[in-house]
Amino acid sequence: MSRILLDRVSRWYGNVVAVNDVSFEVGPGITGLLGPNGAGKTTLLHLMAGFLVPSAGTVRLDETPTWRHPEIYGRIGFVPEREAVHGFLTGRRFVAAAARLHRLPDAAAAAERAIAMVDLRDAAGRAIGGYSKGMRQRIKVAAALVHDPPVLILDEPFNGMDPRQRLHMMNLLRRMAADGRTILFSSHILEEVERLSDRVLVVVAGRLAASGDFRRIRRLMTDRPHSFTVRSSDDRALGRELLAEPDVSSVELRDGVLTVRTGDYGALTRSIAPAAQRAGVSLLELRPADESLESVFSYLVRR
Amino acid sequence: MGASPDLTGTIYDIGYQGYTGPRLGRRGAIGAIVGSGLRATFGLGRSGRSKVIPWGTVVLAALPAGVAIGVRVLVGDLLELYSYDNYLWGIGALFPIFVAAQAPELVVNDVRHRVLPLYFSRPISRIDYVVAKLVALSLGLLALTLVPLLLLWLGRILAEDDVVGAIGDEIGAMPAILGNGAMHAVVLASIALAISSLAGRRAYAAGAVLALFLVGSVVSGILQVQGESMANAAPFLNPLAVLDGTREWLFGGSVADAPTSVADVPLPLYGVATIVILGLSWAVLAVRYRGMTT
Amino acid sequence: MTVTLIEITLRGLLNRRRTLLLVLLGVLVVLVAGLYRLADQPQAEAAGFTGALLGNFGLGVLVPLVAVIVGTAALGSELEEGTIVYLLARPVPRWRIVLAKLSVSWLVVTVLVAVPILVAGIVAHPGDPGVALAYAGSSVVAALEYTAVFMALSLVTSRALIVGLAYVVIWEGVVASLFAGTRIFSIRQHALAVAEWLDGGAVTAELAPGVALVMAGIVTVGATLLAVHRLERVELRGETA
Repeated sequence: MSRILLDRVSRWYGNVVAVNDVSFEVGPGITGLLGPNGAGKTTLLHLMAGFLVPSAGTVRLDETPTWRHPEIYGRIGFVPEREAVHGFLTGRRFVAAAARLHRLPDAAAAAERAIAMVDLRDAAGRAIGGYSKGMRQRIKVAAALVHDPPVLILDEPFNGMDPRQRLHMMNLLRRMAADGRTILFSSHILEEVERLSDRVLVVVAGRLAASGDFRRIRRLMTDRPHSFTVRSSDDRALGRELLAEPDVSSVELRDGVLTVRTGDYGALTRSIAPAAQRAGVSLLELRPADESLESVFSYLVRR
Repeated sequence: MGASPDLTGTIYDIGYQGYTGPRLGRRGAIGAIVGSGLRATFGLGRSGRSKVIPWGTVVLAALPAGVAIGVRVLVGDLLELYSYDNYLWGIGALFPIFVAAQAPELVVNDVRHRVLPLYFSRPISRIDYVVAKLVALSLGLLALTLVPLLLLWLGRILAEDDVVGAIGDEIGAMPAILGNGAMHAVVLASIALAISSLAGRRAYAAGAVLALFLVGSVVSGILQVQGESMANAAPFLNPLAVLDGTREWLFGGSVADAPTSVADVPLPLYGVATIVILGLSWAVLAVRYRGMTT
Repeated sequence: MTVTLIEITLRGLLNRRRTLLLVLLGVLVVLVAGLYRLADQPQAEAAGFTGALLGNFGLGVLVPLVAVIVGTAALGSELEEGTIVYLLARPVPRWRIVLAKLSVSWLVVTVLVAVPILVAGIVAHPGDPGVALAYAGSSVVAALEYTAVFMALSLVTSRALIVGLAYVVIWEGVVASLFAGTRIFSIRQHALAVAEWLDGGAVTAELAPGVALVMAGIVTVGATLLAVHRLERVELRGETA
């Protein structure tokens, strides 16, 4: 069990502030790092992996600062975004080289195990230079987890993978997280993050815009009405009744779907059942309409 | 993104439109490549660091002429550092530095960053592209091979009391100045571009160009003092010596201590060697760009 | 661990087209020597020619050119391409990486320069192989010193090859031959002094061999320490940076 801790971390390049006063903690489980291009995702990951020195603040792995402490790599596996690998090595030698640099007692066996985990045994004897994008991505992951690290940091790990490989990698990460590992990955594809992570960190323009469970984050956005879609035995009657509720800002009935907007998420969930009862309508379904990560994300990015 | 509650879609006209006016065509395109090539040759529009070598060598190349003119004006006819004949041989060390640094700027990154298809999707052929780059670098090189001599020429005239008479005296040197300057520029540009076109990175191109001139002049210098048969071969290993020999053949005037002064070969042979160098360079360029799958 | 570093470095260096070009540069030295022999020059002049060939071409051009390309590539190209991350993301002390890279580069440079110098010297002047041996031996020293300097340079600037070439041409070529006082800092002069010392007479150098060896040692150790210092603090940015 290891944690990454950022305390008031900033990083600037000359006049450009890439990361601005960010504090958070990443613990066991899968955390998704989300942000538009250029938001500072890679800078943040490189700070955490000790490849960049913070301009201000501290980045630690448990008690050890990550900058200029190579010994932390015994506990971190890092998958960079850049595609460049030692293309002249075979996949097997590449992963075995990583194992040897970690001074693993049986490097060859560790390499085989890691290669099997990413499902690349068939191609392990070929030079990486000839690999497809998705295969490169997987051999990089194999090299990062060859020493079975408690912390895994992945920068855009699903880039270039086909849907099947993507699924396989997601399952692998889930399994590793279930073993109590701390996994942090960045992505700009919302669906991936939504499906995989317990927690998200949203960075926008170098600042941490939100963190936590994204459904919770949505509920915190009180300055924007929440929408629900409702199915009931009589949508029109229920809509009329709901309009009288103080927290309901609008009701819309279009194409047979009743959409209710409210400024107070909790109030509506409490008041809708009595309202249905008063209208003599049976409630069939109540569903948050915009509680997808996408709506959260676009809200945070536009704020 | 679903942030807007407005569910109707609109695409706003923000003024983008196609260009339907007249186009400059092939000549315009070639002119643009020459223009941008010239800017690259002198590091214009780039950082201060990329201006150091081109402008530094240009200034150094004109320095002997400046000093000669200054001394002439202030002290009288005392110091003749270089004549029209041996000027380019004297500042020869600057040429490899200039072309090694600048030729790669013109061609290497077009290949490295895979932007050649953007050129060839315009109405220019591959040969047009190469010729335009050659013209650009040759014109740039004139700042080293012609401008200093023109300065010297002007200075010698203006320093005289009888300007008109001086023009009469000096005008005879003009064909040699122009011809020799142009020949140096074109040959040096061709060699440097041919080598640069083969390299994948600017630094390697610069190294290869520099290596060619360095090895050539060092080996040539070693052989020059090793007896007759060696000394006869010596000039042909150094492109600058070949150029100097051709100059002597075309315009006359021997240069002391150059390999050509030691070697005892018919002068037209230098002309042949120059043509061989040009032909080889252009062949390399033609093959390289014709065979390139962009 | 060191074996792995050596393997990756060696394969990275040898896998390239540029290594072939460097071999050709060495072949050129031998070729010039061979042509000289074929031209049937008097043996009395062979000593002068051999000294000029091995000193001016060998130590003056071949060694610095090969060293600048190999020395800046060993770490520099891994930094530029981004593959260095697979060495840095390991619990390996950075000095081990530098030492492994330096020794492999030294070995490669030595093979690429000392062998052609030795062969060319023997071909040009078979009567006195001692001269060839002296120059080959001094090229080994120069190879280490140059490689260490260029490796450190590749960690200081991203344009190490250009800067290195400029240094070879301007400092080693022009300044050190014009201004005697700067020769103590010229790697080429260090090498010439070592050659004189090894040969005992035929080679004439400007520096005393003891001074040259001490300076070569200081420069090599200093450059290596600088390289370690820089590698410990090297920052890796993303693709766009």
